[in-house]
Amino acid sequence: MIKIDNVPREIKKVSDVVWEIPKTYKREMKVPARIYATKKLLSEMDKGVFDQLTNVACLPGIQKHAYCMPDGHWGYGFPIGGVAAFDPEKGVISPGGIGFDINCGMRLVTTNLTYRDVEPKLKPLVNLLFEKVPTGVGAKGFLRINENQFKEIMVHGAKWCVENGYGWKEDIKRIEEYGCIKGADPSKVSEKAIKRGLKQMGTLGSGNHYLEVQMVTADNIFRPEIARKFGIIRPDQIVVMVHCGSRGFGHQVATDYLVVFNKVMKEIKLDVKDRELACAPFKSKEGQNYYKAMACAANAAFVNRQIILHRIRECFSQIFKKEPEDMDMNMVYDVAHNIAKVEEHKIDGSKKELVVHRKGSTRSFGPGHPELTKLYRDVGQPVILGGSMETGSYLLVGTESAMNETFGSTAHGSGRTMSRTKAKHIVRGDELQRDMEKRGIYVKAASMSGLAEEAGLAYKNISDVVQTLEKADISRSVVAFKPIGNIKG
Amino acid sequence: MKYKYLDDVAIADIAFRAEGKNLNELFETAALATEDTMIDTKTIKHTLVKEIEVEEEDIEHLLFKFLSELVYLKDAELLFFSKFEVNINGNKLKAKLFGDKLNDDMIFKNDIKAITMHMLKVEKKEKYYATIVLDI
Repeated sequence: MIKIDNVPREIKKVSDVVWEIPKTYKREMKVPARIYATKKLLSEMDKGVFDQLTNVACLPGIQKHAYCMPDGHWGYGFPIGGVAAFDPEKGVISPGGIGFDINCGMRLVTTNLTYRDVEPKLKPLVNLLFEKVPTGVGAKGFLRINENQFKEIMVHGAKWCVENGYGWKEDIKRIEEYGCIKGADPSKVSEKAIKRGLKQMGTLGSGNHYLEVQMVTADNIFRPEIARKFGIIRPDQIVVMVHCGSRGFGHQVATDYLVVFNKVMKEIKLDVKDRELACAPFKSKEGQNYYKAMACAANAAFVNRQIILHRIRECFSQIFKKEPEDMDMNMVYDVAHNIAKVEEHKIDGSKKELVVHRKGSTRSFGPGHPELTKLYRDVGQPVILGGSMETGSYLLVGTESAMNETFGSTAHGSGRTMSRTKAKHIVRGDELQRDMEKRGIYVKAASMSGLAEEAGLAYKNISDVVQTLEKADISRSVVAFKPIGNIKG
Repeated sequence: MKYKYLDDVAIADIAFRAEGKNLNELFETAALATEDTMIDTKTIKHTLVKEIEVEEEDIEHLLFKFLSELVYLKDAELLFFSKFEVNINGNKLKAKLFGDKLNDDMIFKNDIKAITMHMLKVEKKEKYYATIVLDI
């Protein structure tokens, strides 16, 4: 037993970076809960994490453990950083285990430009990106599509973009699930969801979503061979990172099904600890309908990030007067970190199909996994961890241990440690913007209060998160990036 | 119209507690807090009135659906409101929303992704109270 305030007394140490809350902690728990964290990160986690994670451990059909990643924090229903896998026959699917922003994710793009090339033009570049990638509330994308085209997007995902001139053929190989989750059925999404999302493809949103110009430094390349494989070939190299999701379309799909699932639970007399844990048996009509609608939203999110990539390539081309191909503007990878997927994993030595929920958690498939593109199959899947706009982000690689331990899952960012409301009491957006510019980070934001909420001090130290992942070997760090330009909603 | 943003709830999102002397006022206050999370409501003029009707099986779901309607109107019609007249009758609600279409005079704060059902509860003490967590 350990004694840290906020942490349940019953928690047991499994290793230096793995902690377990036993099944006996709550009467309804079906499996123990496991938290991946250094002792420091564990002590900084808010009480809500432990309560929410042990609530997840009570859900029907959950397998092995309910997991929380080191960037975990209090969410709604599931904690952010939560991973849970369910038996498809006896288990459930829960919108709260995915999040309202279905397929919120990260995308990383390389360039062959160096800091020396970009620095003199950084301001016009960031200003142009801010103009071409709409942010904030009410933002409309440049893509004009009708409802039928939007339905094609839902079914075909990123391929639709390539077929319509918004991407390269090569891009598709570098997206989780090749940019299209199978089983999407537009008849399962509401008219309201379509109306909310129709004009928003190619927009960033707000909150913690961003588009960032970043640089590599010599001391931040940790595994040079793998880095090279991912297209990171030299110090001072410039890359672009994007964090956003399915916009109003996905948010409405989740909202619609939360109401449906609350009704189902009443009918089948399934009692959960929090309405946000609303769920339905995966194989039930409602469960399947949600999965098909969720796939539509996930595919729309892949499209949203693909359209943004297209804009990024155009902006770089305009500023640097070169073709994107000549600047090697290749995508490294696109990962989904708010999603449920049917995946095959080992349980007690035998392979089994499971419904894996990741809410603020990234897939981290190890070397040799047949789902991975041949480009990366020998090294493992690229894992993109978005940090705060002041401190930086990481590129890691998936491992075999993640396959064995966490259903091939890892962290998704640095994780908040302070509420938005509190951060705003401490930081002023305009002051932060000026201060960051002095430190060489040029930021454009649609909202000054929104900017203050995203201050670096509101986040955990991302190095602590990465250290936990390394020690637990659920992913390995490849490169760290420093921000130099950022646009925010 | 009384509401307070909460410091230590759902830290990546925004939570508020609203109160009202009756259910109508509670809903009006919660609507104002929701809009004020997105746009500084002092910058929203009353150039149009939107009437909506919502029906749900209990009061919490009614509040959830009413506030979700505001989030929907934000994306689908780019409408924002700063005055509300709510009339609840059993499980049904009729509301008049006073506001304007998004324009450059409005000061933008945060985009709300969704109203959550986390901790959602309408309580009756000396007044009516509700805590709402918004997904940001």
